[in-house]
Amino acid sequence: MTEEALWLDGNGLAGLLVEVFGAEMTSVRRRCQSCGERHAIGSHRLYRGAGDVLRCPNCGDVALRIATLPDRYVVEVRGTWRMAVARD
Amino acid sequence: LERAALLERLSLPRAPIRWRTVTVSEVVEENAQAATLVLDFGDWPGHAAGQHVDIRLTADDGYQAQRSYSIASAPEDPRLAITVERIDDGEVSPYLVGEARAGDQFEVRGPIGGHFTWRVKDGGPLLLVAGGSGLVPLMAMLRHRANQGSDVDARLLLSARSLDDVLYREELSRLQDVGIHYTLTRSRPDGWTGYDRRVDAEMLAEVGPGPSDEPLVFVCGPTAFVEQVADGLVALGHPPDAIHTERFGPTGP
Repeated sequence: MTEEALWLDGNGLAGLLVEVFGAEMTSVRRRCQSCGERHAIGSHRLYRGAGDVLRCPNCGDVALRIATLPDRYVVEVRGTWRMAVARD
Repeated sequence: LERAALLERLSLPRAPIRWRTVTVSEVVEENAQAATLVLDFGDWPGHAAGQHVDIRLTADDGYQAQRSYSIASAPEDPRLAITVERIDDGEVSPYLVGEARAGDQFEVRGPIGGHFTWRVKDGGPLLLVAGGSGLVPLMAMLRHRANQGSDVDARLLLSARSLDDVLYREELSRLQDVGIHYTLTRSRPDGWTGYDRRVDAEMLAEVGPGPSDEPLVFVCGPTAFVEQVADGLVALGHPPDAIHTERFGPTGP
């Protein structure tokens, strides 16, 4: 089994992203701070371990880190995320 | 686009998400490794084909295991169904396939996801490529298309180990206006005339539609399978943005 076979798509993080951000996030497009490409969060690479890490599908630089602790999420966001969220 | 439609497309819906206790209303054995579970969710808010639900099991000692499963039923279907493939050393699927019975209860939240989805109004042509149980969310798209009476050009390329591993085989045979192609990678019946190798660029080109037709492409399966298919599609000239992928990890055919 190659290392590449262990990652998933950002789609797989959709539930946790709703918990953290309060909205559906996988269709949000992000511009990578490293390579400059724009990709939907759902098409980023997801690595799940003690925390969850999203990486740019082009260059592999980190896009998002989430650590889920008993009483809070610790979140680090990188690159340019552009989104519109519906108002109630 | 109308302003309302544009807003709907551009803005993210507020999506409060909570776990609910859901009752299994029916279990349908699909084959030796997979089962469809019909779930009584109560007031299901509706979903788009391609979305998933999260399922959480809690042991007596409080230990919790959580997994995502694609929704198999069409948005038009009044009954919410998922199809699960059993991973023998998994934490959740060995319960869902083999042990779960009508009347069982567990926690579910959803629908979840907005990137790997297709609605009839998104148009086509549609190229769907599945590895094993990666067929499940793509089947929801084909069921949605059929329920809506859509005539969008749709092709399905399905890779499975053997014919017995193909989910929804009888239902697929009734979808006469969908171009369905099988490749059987491990064993084939006598006189098999379909493909007999792993998906490659040549096979994808034969199934079509090609990049000049600007198809919406959805690929779902084990990670290594999706990698190979996505590489083939890009090599043929499909723009990466048109290729939607859903990888479900290292296991599969």
